[in-house]
Amino acid sequence: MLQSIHDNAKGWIAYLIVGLISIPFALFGINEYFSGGGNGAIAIIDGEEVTKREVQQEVSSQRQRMAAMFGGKLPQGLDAGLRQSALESLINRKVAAQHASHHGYRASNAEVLGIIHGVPQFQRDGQFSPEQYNLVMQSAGRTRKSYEEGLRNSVTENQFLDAVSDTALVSSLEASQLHQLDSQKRDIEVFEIKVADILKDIVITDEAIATYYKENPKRFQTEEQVSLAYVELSKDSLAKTLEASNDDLLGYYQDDTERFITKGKFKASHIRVSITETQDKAQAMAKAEAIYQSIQSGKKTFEQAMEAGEDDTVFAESGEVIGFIKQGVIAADFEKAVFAGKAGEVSAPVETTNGIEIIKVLALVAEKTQSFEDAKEEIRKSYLAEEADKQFDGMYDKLKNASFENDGSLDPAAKATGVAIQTSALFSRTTATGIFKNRELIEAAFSNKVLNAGINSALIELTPDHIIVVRLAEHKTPKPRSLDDVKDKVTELVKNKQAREQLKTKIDGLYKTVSEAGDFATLGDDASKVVKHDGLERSNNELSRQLVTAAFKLSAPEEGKKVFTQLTNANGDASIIALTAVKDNAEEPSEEAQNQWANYTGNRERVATMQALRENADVEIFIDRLSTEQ
Amino acid sequence: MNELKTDTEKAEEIKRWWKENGISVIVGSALAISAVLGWQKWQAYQVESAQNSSAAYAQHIKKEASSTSKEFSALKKATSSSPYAALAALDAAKQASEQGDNKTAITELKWAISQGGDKILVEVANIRLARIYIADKQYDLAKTTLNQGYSTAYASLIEELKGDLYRAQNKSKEAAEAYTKAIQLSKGQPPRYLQMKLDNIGEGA
Repeated sequence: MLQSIHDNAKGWIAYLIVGLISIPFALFGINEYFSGGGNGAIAIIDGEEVTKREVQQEVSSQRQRMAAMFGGKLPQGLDAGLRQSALESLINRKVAAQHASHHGYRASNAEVLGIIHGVPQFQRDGQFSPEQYNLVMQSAGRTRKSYEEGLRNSVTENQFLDAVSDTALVSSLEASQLHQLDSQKRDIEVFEIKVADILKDIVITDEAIATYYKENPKRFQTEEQVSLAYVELSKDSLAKTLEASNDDLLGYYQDDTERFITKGKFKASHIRVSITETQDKAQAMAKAEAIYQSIQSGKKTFEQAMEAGEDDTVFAESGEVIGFIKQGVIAADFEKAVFAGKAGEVSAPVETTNGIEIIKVLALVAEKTQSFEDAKEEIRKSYLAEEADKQFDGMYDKLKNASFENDGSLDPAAKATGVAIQTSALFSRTTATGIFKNRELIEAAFSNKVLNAGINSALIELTPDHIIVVRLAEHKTPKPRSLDDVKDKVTELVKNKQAREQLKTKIDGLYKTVSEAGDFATLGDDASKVVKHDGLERSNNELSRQLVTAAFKLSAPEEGKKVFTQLTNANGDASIIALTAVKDNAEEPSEEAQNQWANYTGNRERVATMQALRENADVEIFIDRLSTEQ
Repeated sequence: MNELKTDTEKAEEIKRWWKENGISVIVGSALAISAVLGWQKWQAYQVESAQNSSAAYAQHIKKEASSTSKEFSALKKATSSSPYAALAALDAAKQASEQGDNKTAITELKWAISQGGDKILVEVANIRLARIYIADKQYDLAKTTLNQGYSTAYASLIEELKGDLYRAQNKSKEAAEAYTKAIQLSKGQPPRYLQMKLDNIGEGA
């Protein structure tokens, strides 16, 4: 037997067997060569790869979360930032997961089940339902096992960090110190001089104005202006260039006829005789017939019959009260009876699903189909808008490519898109109007590329449906303005500058005498302008932030004495602040306050620990692979 | 191989070889199989014990009421030889320190540190140990603890604690320097209370 295998194995069978055996090797080998080796990895964490696909998935889930936050629309140009933050959070998660598995963390079934039981989508009537859970899994195309394993991993990878923040401690001594500090109150006195107080007494000479004008030429120039040549394209403008034949429009009309039908409507009063257990159909019909006869014979009007309900099986409702009812809303048999009649007519009793009805039609508007001719203009609009929508993407690419490949001129872009080049009026950064007010456009217009190199700008999306490429047509560099032109402005500036200088000298002098004397009494008459603020808290927002901060930076004064500091605000107003007393909060912190300090610390430790984990992991990032398209 | 041998001769050869090596082959295979099975069982045991420890720890944290020391030692036992035991010790230290029992807090933290294993966890425990030492007025021990090497990520926290230490020792200038460093080293927005601590040291006068 061995001999026969030996003999046969020399022929074509041998080749076949070798061929078959080599197939799996070849397949697995190829896979390894093309995807392995970290070629596509955006980052490698201790040998584990973060692939571009993972980043993209994370980006899209972050994008969804943000879109939900911003109400559907996301600002343009967000993607680069999103990609970066998605990568960061992916890396953090992998680092945490590796730490967890390396040290033997593993979440229990009870924890995983606890989460699953809390998911509202898996509940029926507020209770976890296994059937519902299976159903959701099936419709999402996932297996329970993979979902549960994913959950377990995400719990596991957070356990250590959660523990760090949960177990953060603040000693009771530290907590009460922080609490005292935080709820401390301070008594202060403030003496303030405003720039305006000084300004009104300042007189300046023409010479001072001329000097200032000469010394600060840049402050008195005309603004830099540009005029732009541009090719602009929008779905609206594209729609205007398109034409539609009668056949196109007719086709559109026939495809969507529904849209051109206006449903009929009616207003009707009715008297209903119900069919009940004690009153069969024939009896009800007889009763209705009697009412109808009394109306027909002129004994009663329909309205009188409505009021004279004989027993509780007769029910009437006035059409004036109900108002117009659209066709297709109410029971079909009732509607049929209504449309069989005419306005003002009373119908003979008809059987409907609700009982026997006598109907008086008050008003009737029949269903109307707008004819093609009547609807033509509306159709043309919709049709052209849809066509423009279809063509826009192609035009977008044409404009983008033609303006980029031939960035020395707009002509190719204009030719490629069939849009004429337009030229804007001159505008500066602050006087731009209309479409030129767009921030991205202004940046491009005054960029080195457009302004100095004289090439086309990149394509700018004014809105997703409105795009533009610009290039420089005219550039007006800043020019000095004559002194006469700007005299008022210069005067104001010089006055203000002098006022601030005088104020500074004055407050410095006052601060010196006041702080040396240890009291505001040296101010003389002005001492009455000192304002007291008792019990100032850190969170005070009635006084300026700067003032409160300065007051809390001062060290506590000795009993009966004052500690001084001075402060100049951004607007030039200056003050001298005296701290007269510091009142510590003697109360021990509540448990809540103690927890709050522990939480602060816990958060800080958690963030630092995540960084420490990363610091101690071998993380390699290939950032340039992230930005490339696809 | 000699190609001239007949089938019978080959069979004979195999039989002879089996006589010589049969037992070693069987023993070897048995060993290999039991090693694989044992390894799998060990892995499963590891996973199960980790899960059990995790469950015990999670249940404990959820309870959140201050636990007795008895409960803690039971928990530590239940989670022993898993990373959760050290986490339990960290929590025990927190509870003790909140009740002003610095001694127990120090013991628990030292125990967590003695478990070694996880470098980062040891660093976290050491930082907390320094905090307790300061509260317990053991300033020299606090200083030694803070001067051990730490991951750079903890630099801001360490400087803050150094500031606390100096302030407790009434060394205002050093404290102010340390708090300033802590603010500079903190990633992102420094916590509000850090500035508050710095401001409290006071300036001027």
